[in-house]
Amino acid sequence: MKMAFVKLEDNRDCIILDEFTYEKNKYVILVNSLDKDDFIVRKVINEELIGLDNEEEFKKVFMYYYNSRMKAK
Amino acid sequence: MEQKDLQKIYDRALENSVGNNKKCPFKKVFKTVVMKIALLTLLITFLASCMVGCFGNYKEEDINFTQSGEAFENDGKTNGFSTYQISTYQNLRLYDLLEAYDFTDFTLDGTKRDYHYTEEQYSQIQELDETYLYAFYTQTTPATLTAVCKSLGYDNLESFLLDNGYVDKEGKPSISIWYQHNKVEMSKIMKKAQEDLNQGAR
Repeated sequence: MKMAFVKLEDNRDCIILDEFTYEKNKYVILVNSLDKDDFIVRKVINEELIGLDNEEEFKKVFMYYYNSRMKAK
Repeated sequence: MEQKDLQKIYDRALENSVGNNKKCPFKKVFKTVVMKIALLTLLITFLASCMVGCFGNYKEEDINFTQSGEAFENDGKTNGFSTYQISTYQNLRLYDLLEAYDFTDFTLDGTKRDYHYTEEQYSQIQELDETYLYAFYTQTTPATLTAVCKSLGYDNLESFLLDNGYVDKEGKPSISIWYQHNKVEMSKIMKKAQEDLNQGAR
């Protein structure tokens, strides 16, 4: 499969698993290409991947993603 | 996987994700990878770990989420694959096909992708057939879905459902019946992909 990758600030090479918008922000879900247990969620601002504000944002974003994307129908 | 292992994955993801000091350019590079179904399973495991992690802090205000979690736990399998494995695989299968033809121009509307291509352009994708349609239905906007339906010779989704017999007892187009058929069809495609992968590894 042809997949999109991105390199993080610490040089981790990550596969972009998904992209979505939530409350006017764009988010991406990444997994480390060398470590399948290493997942990352980042926000896209001005063509940069930025860490989230806090755990609250992390949970809200992921719940939104789970409820809207992962449901099969 | 035990709850403590899921919690570890969740904690690590949280640590990876939070902190405005984490910053890097969003520059995509496309590479071909052997996408193992095991990786998809792990994505789903991660989602489960998120639920475990959230239970402590989110209760009444997130009832829908909790219910989803219960549905996940009780999820039945089709040809050995869970609904979530099938759903994830078919989404990535669609993105893989579109990226192979450089169809990467889209805007996001929540989790829906609005691709900026015409019916004629979709017709150029040789491998595009009805088995991709359900992923278009769940992952893209109605405008994109209609353009793809037209490229496959249908006026719209309703006409696709009617022509293929995905109808309820009253003869009305039924997404639920299509969904059940799609799940079985996709699980067969996954099984074949897995066998091909195993044969290649020998």
